[in-house]
Amino acid sequence: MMENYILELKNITKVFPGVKALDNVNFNLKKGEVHALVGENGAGKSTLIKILTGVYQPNEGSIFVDSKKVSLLNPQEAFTHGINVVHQERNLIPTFTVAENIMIEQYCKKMTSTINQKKINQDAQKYIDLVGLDLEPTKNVEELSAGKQQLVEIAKALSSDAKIILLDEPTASVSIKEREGLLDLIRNLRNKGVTFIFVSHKLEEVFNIADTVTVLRDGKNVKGEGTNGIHVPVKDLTRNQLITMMVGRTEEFRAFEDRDFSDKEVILEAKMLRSVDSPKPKSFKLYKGELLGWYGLVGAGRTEFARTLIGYDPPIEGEEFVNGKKTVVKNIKQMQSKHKLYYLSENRKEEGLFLDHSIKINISSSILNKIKNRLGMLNFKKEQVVANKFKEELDIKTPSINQVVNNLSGGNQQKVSIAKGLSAEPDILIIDEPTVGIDVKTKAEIHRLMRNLTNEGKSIICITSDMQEIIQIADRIVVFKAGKIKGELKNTKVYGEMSKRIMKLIMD
Amino acid sequence: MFKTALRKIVRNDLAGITFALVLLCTLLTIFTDGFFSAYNLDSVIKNISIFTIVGMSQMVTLGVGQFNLSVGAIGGCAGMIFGALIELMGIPYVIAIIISLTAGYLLGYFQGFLIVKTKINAFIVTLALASVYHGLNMTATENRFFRDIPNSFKVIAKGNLWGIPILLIFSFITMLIFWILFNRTVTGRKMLATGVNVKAADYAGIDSGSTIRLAHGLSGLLAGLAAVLTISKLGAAQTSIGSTWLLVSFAAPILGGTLLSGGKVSIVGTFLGAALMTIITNALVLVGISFYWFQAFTGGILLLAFALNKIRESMNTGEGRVLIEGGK
Amino acid sequence: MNQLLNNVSDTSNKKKRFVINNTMGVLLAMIVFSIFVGCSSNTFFSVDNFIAVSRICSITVLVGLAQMVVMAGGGLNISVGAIGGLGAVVCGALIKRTGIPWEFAIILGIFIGVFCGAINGFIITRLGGAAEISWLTTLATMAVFTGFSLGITHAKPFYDMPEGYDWIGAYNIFGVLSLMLVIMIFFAVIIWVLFKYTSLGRQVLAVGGNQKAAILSGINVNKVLIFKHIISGVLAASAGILFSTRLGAVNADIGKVWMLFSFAAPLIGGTRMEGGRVNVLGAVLGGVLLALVSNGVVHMRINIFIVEFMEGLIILLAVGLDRLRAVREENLERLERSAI
Repeated sequence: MMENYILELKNITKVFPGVKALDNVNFNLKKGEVHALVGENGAGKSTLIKILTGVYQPNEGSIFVDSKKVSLLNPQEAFTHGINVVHQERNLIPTFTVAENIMIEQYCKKMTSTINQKKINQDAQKYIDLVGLDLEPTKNVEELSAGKQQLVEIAKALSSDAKIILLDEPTASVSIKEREGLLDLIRNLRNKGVTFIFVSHKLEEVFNIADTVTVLRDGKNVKGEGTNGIHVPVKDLTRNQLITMMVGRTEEFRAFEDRDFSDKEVILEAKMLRSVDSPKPKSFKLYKGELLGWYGLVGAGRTEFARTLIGYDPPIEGEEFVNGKKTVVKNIKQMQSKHKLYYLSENRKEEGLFLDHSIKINISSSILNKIKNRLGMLNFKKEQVVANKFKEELDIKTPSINQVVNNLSGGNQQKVSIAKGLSAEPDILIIDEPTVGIDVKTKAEIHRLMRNLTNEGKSIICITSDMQEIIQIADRIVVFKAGKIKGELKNTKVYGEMSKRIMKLIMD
Repeated sequence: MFKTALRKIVRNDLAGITFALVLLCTLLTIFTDGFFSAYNLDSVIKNISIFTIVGMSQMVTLGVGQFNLSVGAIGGCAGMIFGALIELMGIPYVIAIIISLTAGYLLGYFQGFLIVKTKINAFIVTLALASVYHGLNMTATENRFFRDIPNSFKVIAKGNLWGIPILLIFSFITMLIFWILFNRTVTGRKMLATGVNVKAADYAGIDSGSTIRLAHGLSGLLAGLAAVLTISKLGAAQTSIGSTWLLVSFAAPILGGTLLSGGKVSIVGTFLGAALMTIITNALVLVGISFYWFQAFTGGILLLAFALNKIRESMNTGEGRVLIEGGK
Repeated sequence: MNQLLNNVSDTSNKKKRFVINNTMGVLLAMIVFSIFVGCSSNTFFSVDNFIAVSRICSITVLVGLAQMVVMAGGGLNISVGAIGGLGAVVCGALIKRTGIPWEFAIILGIFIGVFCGAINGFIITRLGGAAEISWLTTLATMAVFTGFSLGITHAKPFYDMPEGYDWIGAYNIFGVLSLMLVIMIFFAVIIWVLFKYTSLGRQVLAVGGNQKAAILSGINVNKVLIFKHIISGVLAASAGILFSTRLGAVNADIGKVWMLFSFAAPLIGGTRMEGGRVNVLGAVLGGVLLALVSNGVVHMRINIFIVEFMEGLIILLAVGLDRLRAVREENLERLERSAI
């Protein structure tokens, strides 16, 4: 049966060293529909998008545009085939006007063409109106809010006669009002015949505007409940069914045993704490020996709040208590040395590790003051001992501790990052996205490690967007949304029940 | 096979440059009369000594991931301060040296302070300050010479200790001190960490701001040292000291394996780089190329150094890496 | 809070205000400075001095524009002075050592600018194209070009240029308007047209504004980079030749000190260091201000090296103010976001 597909991805497999990101994935896009692509972090969404936009090439499988086979070797080629992407981060020229951004491909085609400002403004006006922006084409893009900038990007996509517009988390950084406008716009444009791929974590939006849904989980398509299709019409789906498709798991789910903290002391507490980058006041408690999970979608504000607690972005209002004592938070060094609070960044490559230095040097970087002798000279022996200790404890796979960290696998890099934090002997550890992009075996090792640390008396806050992970390991779960704490749940470790309760808190 | 050998030479910084040096010296000894003469070698070694220190001045800032365009200007200031102290105030030269070096340190430290405080990029700050310092220097001294340099001081440049030129001993001692700093001390480790990744250093509890200020300060101090030694060699203090240092200050460390991106320095490499630059210039003289072309050569060598640097940097990120990018 | 948000979104005139602020600021500084100097010296406000200043500023503006073109695309050109010198030297050498008519020699000298700019652009693109690479590369090429100037001249000047050649630098239209000034204005207008009305100009600005977005919009970043350096080279070489017509001689020192004020003029005039926005009028006025300062300093009998000192300070101030502005904008953005 010949369906009128404008885009088909057939049996796409993409493998990275140690990780199979996509396993025989299919994706068919009908002309004129809004097709949602949904899945948790790590499910394979972003890899699929990168293949669609020519950033990656699949190891297996083929791509068809309008029933013609194509190979998308780079973003330019994807663009020539009519695939337009509006990314999460803005790709506009901030110093140009709205019109200049929208029409940029038209007037930058040849070096020698002249700029007819009037024509650019006029031509752009058409698309500005199309997306419902109420402003002058001569307005500078850098003066616009994030939401308006996004609309400009959509207008830009429309101006190049895009066949397909892919929106990647479009409402992640827009205001509530702008969000409504954006969803309306997508609906209107769809009615006019534009085809959209809509990638979002926000399930309520999927039900709001999508015609069809494709769910990815662990790199594979998920069959719709009750149907056998992998592309499910939204009208045939209930919220619960969709959630089950996203997070439901049939394989054995092993979680850690329950632990009770009702009689334990509070080791870290925040009361209505806010800072410059984490402006909404938040309160929570962390008990000694507890593994507390912070769950939220991308952009929920957990990292920003962690940065407040550790002194990177010191609090401007509210109170923070460490070990029961009120603390004036000044900077990272103070919180580390005086209060034994250590933070492991989610971007281990950009913020957590010294990639060009060896494992040994990385691990010792947090305890430089402890491995020196009177004259400020390094005690190499001590350094070696400490590094070897963690190499053993964490089972870091490397021929030697002098190996440059850049050459290690992601999992081992993460272990080095953790070792770096542990060497400082913190009492409280905040780990941000500990197992992103890491193979399953190492993931389990890190989970076990975190559990053991808490059994030894350390307290851990684990920030993660991985539902399965948090339900497996956390004693309690704090749920974040849009910079606020929506609620706190005692973890029963029953997957189905907990995942639904968490999603409910987020979707309300 | 040739390609892998070439690759090894480029990668293993010291082997490659040592090879080039040895080759060059051999060729010069064979094909020219003047190279291996005592006079020539003496002059070459003295220049190498001073240029090593100039190169280390830049190397220190490269180590923390920064640049210092005012090495010459700070050197010039420190040099004139030294001259003024000796000639106008009659201060004994040991004390004058200490004061001049301190002045160099302070000028550099101020630079680092501005950079950290205002977060303006190092290029423009050091460029602007270079003019500020140089302008001040020229104005305050009215471009005069200080010629009344005591002979005992000139001995530093002219004399030998146990057959080794004292200038060379100075540069070796400086090299040793900085080698210890970067390889053996906590402070040096902090500086290199800042150079590799400022953010990671901050998160590890290392105060990146203070390492940057220190690096600029040390850079200024070394510039001052180079100026003082130059005065000893010239026998006079003049404002033109330092005016030709900018290029050499980059060429020496980069040829020797210090990375432009920061976090890796090579003290011995800087010495070898300075040696290579000096001997190439010497070769030009001996071969009879008019010295007006020297700057062109220096620039060309610097371009080569950048090309080498780029190759080295891309080798770091390309070869032998096991990449795991998760599907996110 | 709402009022604050209103203020933030009501920044439609921000761009205009920014441009006006800078040009106004520079004009104000010019007026204040001129009055100050005029009070301490009675030769400042004379026709002869006006002509002298107009000659100086013709050079400072050309050199400033040469830098501005490269800055617009997010790079830097340290070799502007060296290209100026080499252009003049080649022109002079051709005139003195071959029998080529001087008009031809000038054209060839300007071609040197094309050539040097192309070399700069080519090397920078080979080395990766980042902003840092651009200044490191042009630092090295500065030495190479200066070296060639020295090599060609053997540090000796070329004297006794042909009459027509000297005439360019000496002629005053109607006795008050120096030809050099007119030539400068001619170039300035071309550059203004370049950025306002040509695709190349827009592409340069796009690359400077957001290189990643420019690539995604189909702009060939490498091509753009080479072209902008060529234009910069032409401007620089022209400045060098023009200067030598006034000097009446050609030597390798031409352009030696130009590098510093090549930054000062555009920065004062509101061109961003990172690129993406230019202010041609501002750069011109900035060049004029610099000319006034260097002229005024002589009238006030102050040590000429104060100028260098002041130029450094001015650059620091200009960049510092710009940074303050950026910080203030960031803070406003944060406030806006926290209200969501």
